[in-house]
Parts: sequence; C-alpha cells; structure tokens
Amino acid sequence: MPLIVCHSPKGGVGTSFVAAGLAQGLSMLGRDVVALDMTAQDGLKLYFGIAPDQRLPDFDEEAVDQVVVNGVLLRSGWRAAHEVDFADGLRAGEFPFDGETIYVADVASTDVALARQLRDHARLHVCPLTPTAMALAQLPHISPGRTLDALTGTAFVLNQLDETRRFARHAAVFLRELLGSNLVAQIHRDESVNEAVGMQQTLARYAPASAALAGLATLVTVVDGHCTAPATHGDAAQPAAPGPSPKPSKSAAA
Amino acid sequence: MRSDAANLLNRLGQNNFKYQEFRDNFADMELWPLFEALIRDPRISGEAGHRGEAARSEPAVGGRPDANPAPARTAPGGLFGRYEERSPDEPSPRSTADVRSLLQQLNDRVAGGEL
Repeated sequence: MPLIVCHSPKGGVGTSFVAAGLAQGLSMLGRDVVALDMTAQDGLKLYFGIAPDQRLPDFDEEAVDQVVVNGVLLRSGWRAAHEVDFADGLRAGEFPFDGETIYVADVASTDVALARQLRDHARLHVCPLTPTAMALAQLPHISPGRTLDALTGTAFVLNQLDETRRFARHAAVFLRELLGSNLVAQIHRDESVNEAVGMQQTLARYAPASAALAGLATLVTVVDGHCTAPATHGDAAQPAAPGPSPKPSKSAAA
Repeated sequence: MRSDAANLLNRLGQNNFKYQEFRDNFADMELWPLFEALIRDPRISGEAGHRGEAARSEPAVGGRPDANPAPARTAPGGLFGRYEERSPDEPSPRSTADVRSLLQQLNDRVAGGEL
C-alpha cells in the first residue's frame, strides 16, 4: 500500500485538514483510501463531518461498525502507534502497507519520532506549511543537512495562504525559491474550511466553490501520481545526504 | 483576475466589484532578516557537517548517520543570489542596514510617485 504521511514540524498549519482533503480527493479518483488519525487530538474526523463524540475504530481493531465518509474508511491509529512493539511491527512488515489501498496518516507535529518511523515506510511525506514567520522558522528541522529542494520523498504544501497579507506574499515567493519543485501546491485561506467543521459537513459539500478546494485538487493530483508510480520501499525516507543537487525547476504550483 | 475570484463573482451575480491585485516591490524581499537567517542556516544550506552542526541536529531520517552532508549551494541564483556568502571585505552590519534603509527610501519614493 502506498502510505502517505502528513506531518509538519509546526503545529496549527492545517495538517489534519490537508490529510482529510487528500484522502477525500484520492477517494474521488476511485482509490481505496483509509484515513488514519495518529494524533491524540482525534480531530481528523471533524473534516469529514463527523461529530466529536463519535469514536473511530482503532487501526488494528476488528470493527463491526465501520466509519466511512465519501468512500474513505476512517481509523484511529494513535493507540496502536504508541504500543511498545509498533516500531518492531513496522519493520517486520506486520502492517498492510503493500496492497492497493492508500493509507493517509495524520501525524501530530510534536510526534517527531512517529513521523520518522512512518516515513521510513511511506511512499510520500506531505509537509504542510503556512506562510508565517513561525512556520518558516521550523524549516531547518525538517531534514537537517539537506537542501529542501533536493528531498526526494517530501512534498510541501503551502496552506492558509492569504495574499492580502504582505508577509504571506513574501513568504510564498521565498518558499517557491527555497523548495523548488518540492512545493507542489498552494491552498488559499478560506473561512469556509472552519465553517464546514462548524456545520459538521465536509468542505466539498458545504462550500463546493471554496478556493481551498482548488489547491487541494492540485495536491491530490500530485500524490496520486506518486501512488501509481512504481514503488521503491520507503520512498519518503531520505537517503544519506546527497552531493550537490541540480537547481530544480520552478514549482508547478507557482 | 484570478479564475477562482471570477467564478465566485459570477456565481454571486456581482459584477460591480473593484478587483485589486496585490503586488510587491521585489526589493521588499530584502527586508525580512528571517529569510536571510534561513538561507544561511547550515541545516538548510547543507553545511551542517562543516560547521559542527550535525551533532546538534536531528539524525537523518531512519536514524542513519549523516555521514556525507550535502555541500552548500555554490552559486545561488534568482532571489537567493542576493544572499551570497559574506567575504572578508563584506560590508559591516551597519552597511547592510544602510542598504536596507536606502531600499526602503527608494520604495517610499516610488510609492509617493517621486520616482
């Protein structure tokens, strides 16, 4: 299975929103998708229009009542991921990460160790960022010692972009230059994202003309291309630091 | 007009909005020291190993040692070309501040229609 790990070094940048939108978009393309909430906050389901008090079955649970929204099967992976033998299980291939199903994992920003473990087995690491100074300041923590435009298994998403704000515009230009073709999508800030959660609806249903959906669609296309490409084990695990890298082309989303 | 804005206005049946695109003077980009700090950060430039930063940095993904860090970009182009490595005869921080001040003055004069 292609495992897609959504993780950012900065909290509050919309990682759960990106993971939910990615899962729903891939499902709309006809893929079998499982959305895994690997966070203690248990907030991924809110972007699927699910009530806060509805429990998601655990990842490794034989669930009778499945939770499926827009074709996406939702599971909680937080408990399983924090079992003492989770890392050993990953290494031993005990998890079904080799079929046709695409697993989209939402990992909390603070859970760096889990993100690193999962990236070793992932097809792609999706890293959301926001055009804020605090988010940019976390860039050195993503893959220390490597130029970010040379990472082969990481796709960056600029989320909550508001071009009426000066710093956001400058940050977008800066990130396009810094990340090159690894910046695969820009998602515009849209209050309807918040309102959709408040309405307990998916964004596509609540605000089908939302500007945020256009950016998500771009991301979905890129990720789907990664999922359908021939796999090599742990694509998102970065190899040892490379030598000089050629200057990448400009971002397709630029 | 961007297509999403045009679509939205069409859906709303509104055609009397004044549309403004926000543009920036390219020189404004020089005014954020954070950008320059990030470009010079050895963990991003790939110089971590040369500056002893590797020991403080997180290990490579998967726990593999970062034995052969990537060298720094030697000839950054585009925007980052302006963040070139400092040389011994590089202007002092005060000179840099003067340059920024000059750029700001130029921006102000352009905005005021003087230039």
